[in-house]
Amino acid sequence: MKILVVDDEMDVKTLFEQRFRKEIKNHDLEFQFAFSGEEAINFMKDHEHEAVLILSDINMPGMSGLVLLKHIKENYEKPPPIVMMITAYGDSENYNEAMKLGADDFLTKPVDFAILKEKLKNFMS
Amino acid sequence: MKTIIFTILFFVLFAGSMFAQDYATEKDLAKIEIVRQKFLRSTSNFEKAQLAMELSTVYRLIVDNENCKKYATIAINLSKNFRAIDKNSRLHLQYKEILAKAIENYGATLAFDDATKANDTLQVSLQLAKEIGDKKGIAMVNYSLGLANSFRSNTLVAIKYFDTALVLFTETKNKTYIGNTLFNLSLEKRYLGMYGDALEYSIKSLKIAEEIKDTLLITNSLLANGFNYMLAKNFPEALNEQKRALLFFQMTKNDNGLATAYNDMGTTELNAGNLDSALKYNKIALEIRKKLNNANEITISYNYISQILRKQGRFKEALAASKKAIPYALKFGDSRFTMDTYLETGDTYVELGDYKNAVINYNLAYDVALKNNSRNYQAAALVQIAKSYYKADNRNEALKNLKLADQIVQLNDFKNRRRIYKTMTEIYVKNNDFKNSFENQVKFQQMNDTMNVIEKAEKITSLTQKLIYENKHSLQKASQDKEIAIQQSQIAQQKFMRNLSIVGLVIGIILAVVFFIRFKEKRKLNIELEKTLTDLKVTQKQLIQSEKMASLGELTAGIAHEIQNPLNFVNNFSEVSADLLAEMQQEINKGNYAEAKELLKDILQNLEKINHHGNRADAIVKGMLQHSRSSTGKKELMDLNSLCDEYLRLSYHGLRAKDKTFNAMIKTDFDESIGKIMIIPQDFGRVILNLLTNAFYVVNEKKHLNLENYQPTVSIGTRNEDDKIIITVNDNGNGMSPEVKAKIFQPFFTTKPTGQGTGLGLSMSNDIISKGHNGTLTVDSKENEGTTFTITLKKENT
Repeated sequence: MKILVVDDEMDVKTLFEQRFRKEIKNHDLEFQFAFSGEEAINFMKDHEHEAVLILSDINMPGMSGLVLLKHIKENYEKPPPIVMMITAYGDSENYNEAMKLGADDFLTKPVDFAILKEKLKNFMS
Repeated sequence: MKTIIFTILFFVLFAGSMFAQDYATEKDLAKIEIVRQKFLRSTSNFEKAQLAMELSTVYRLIVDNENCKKYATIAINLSKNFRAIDKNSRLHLQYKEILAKAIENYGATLAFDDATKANDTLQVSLQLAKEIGDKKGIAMVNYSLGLANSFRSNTLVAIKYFDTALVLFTETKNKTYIGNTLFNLSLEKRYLGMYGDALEYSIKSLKIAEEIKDTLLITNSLLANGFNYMLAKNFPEALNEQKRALLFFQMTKNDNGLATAYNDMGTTELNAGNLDSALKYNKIALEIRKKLNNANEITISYNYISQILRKQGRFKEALAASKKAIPYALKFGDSRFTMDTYLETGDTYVELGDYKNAVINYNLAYDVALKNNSRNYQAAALVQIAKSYYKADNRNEALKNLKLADQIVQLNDFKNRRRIYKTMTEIYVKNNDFKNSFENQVKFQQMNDTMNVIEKAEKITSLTQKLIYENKHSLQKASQDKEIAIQQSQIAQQKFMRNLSIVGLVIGIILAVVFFIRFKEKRKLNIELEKTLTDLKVTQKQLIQSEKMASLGELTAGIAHEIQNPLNFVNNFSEVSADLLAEMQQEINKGNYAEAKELLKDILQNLEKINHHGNRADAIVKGMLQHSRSSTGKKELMDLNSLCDEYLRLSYHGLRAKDKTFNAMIKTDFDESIGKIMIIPQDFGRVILNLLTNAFYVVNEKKHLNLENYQPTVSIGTRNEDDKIIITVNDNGNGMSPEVKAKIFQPFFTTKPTGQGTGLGLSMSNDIISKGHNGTLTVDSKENEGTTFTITLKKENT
């Protein structure tokens, strides 16, 4: 299964690759990275028929994570991609907005990768 | 025992306006006789008219109404054919003047008998005076009209005429009549219950009277002052003025005046509750008046004495006094005096329990009232009769009189109506007639409510007047004190100057002292000026600080977010590195050195990343502290591009944190060749931040207009040119009009809604760039397209 990580911070790529080193090695997970909302939408267009799980930051210049979430949930009905939001703003307003737009889960930075792995496992099965 | 006090209002008010009229002296009469002889001998029509008019004027002044009228009539008849004479001749005008004055005199005397006729006559005179254009004449007629209307109790109209007269007398500088008009205005204001205003006028008239040494006006004003003080319930001041008047009358041997002064002092003491003194003064007044044989004034004195005695519980003496008043009241002929006296006598009989005689006296009052068609006195007398019958247990007679009173009483005579219904209710209850009792109780309640309202209104008026009076009084006192102080200082100065000229040496010392004082004063002024300047500087500093704090507030949320991001990496890279080390250990144990080497590379890279993100967090915190700290004002070598980038992130995330819907494209174009330059970091950062937050603000505003295809965009760029460095901040907002553009660098100018901007951002930025960095801050804007701010720094200064 492909996982698309969307974040404007370049170092996210390195971090995820190291954190999921074993999973990547064993081909349990496959990671793709997009550094803006716009880039993520282009990626989705190219992989329209694949099952994709999206992990997205909310605060990004240009298209924000919430706009991206809305776009995905509106345009991709079958199969509905799973979208998890990851943000530095853990406030209820952000959370409620994300849930209203159909986010499947919500995590705050700094990311606890043990919890993230657990959640990913649940979504995979 | 509860005392029934029947309010006798008329003579109280009248006494206050009755003044020591200086009747003709023998000298006056002798003078008049000379003029009269001249008049009788004259054969010229014009001279006769002139003299007759003059005689009528003199008789008017000494209040000899009959002679005044007689000569006025002669003058009118002799001059009324003036229209037959050539219009442009002097004689025509002179006759006209005589006629006007004669008519005025005639009208003025009419006021005593028929105030309405007097008013009509005076209007004719006014018309003539106006035709002549004689200001003095117009003033006099207005004054006479004021008096005539005063007699008719037409207070407001009287005030209007007196006001006009006052203006004209002032214009023609006729001090005697300015004083007299002020005095009359004082009386009218008193009738209106405006004691404060009344006092103001009487004080003014007193001042003028003293200036022109008019004894009659002085004493009249003093008595008016006294009465006004009394009504304002300032009894000591009232007695003070009345005693001053008394002294004047003693000096001029004016018995009439003496009696009035004693009368007024008695009234003051009565109102102040000092019954013994009141009685004493009234008795003195009575004795003098008896000698002078003034019927109306004797009545007043007897009535006062009766009232005081009754208050003291000395009913028999009271009765004796009021009985003595009756013949004088009848002699004077004013019905109100007679009725008051009969009612007063009746009241005392009630106190004595002699209801039969009480009813007799009340009936006498009723008869006079009936003859004079005075409905309120009729009602009052009937109520008193009914009450007497009721007390004598003759309820049928009582009811009969009350019913009659109810028919006669005027609708707006609430006081008497309340009395009627109250007594009726009591009688019906006694008769077990509850239906009628209830009806009357309801009526009584209505009257009671009305009366309460009226009484409250009266109380408020009186309180207001007391306040006005007190204000005026304190003002008067203050100006008196000031005058005394000035006089004293003048005397002191004069003495001082005398001594100075004697001892020449002293002059030098004095001058030195004066100069020293001047010097000290100047220094004091300087110190004060300096203090003001310091205060101003402190305020300015506080303002700048608050502007900084305001922008800091906008940043805090952005800062929080910005710290979470590097922290995320620091935490996770360190954790994952620990995992990697453990893995590496395993690989080494297995002997897989190639694998271990790979892991080591990653770990080293991670350590670098931890360091990088740690520094990032550090820079954010430092930036925040720097921003809030006062500027060191010292230039430092700084990386311009990273400073711009840092503030770009801070402002963007700050706005995002505040407004979730906010978003904008950010474009950066940094010229890497710039490197580090000398700038004041806190100050310069503030400028960049200010320009960026403004840019974000305007694009967000434009976005809210929901324009099609609008992509809010903010760009920041740096350029390295030959001898200068250029920084631009651009937005695609709505731009600004030339008017706004002209003002944006002015302190406190803001286009943001109230409370959202201090209006100091751009003016401060401009100062920082031009004064702190010797550069320029310019603006270029196109309406509906956007704005670009450009900072230009000369390289020689960086």
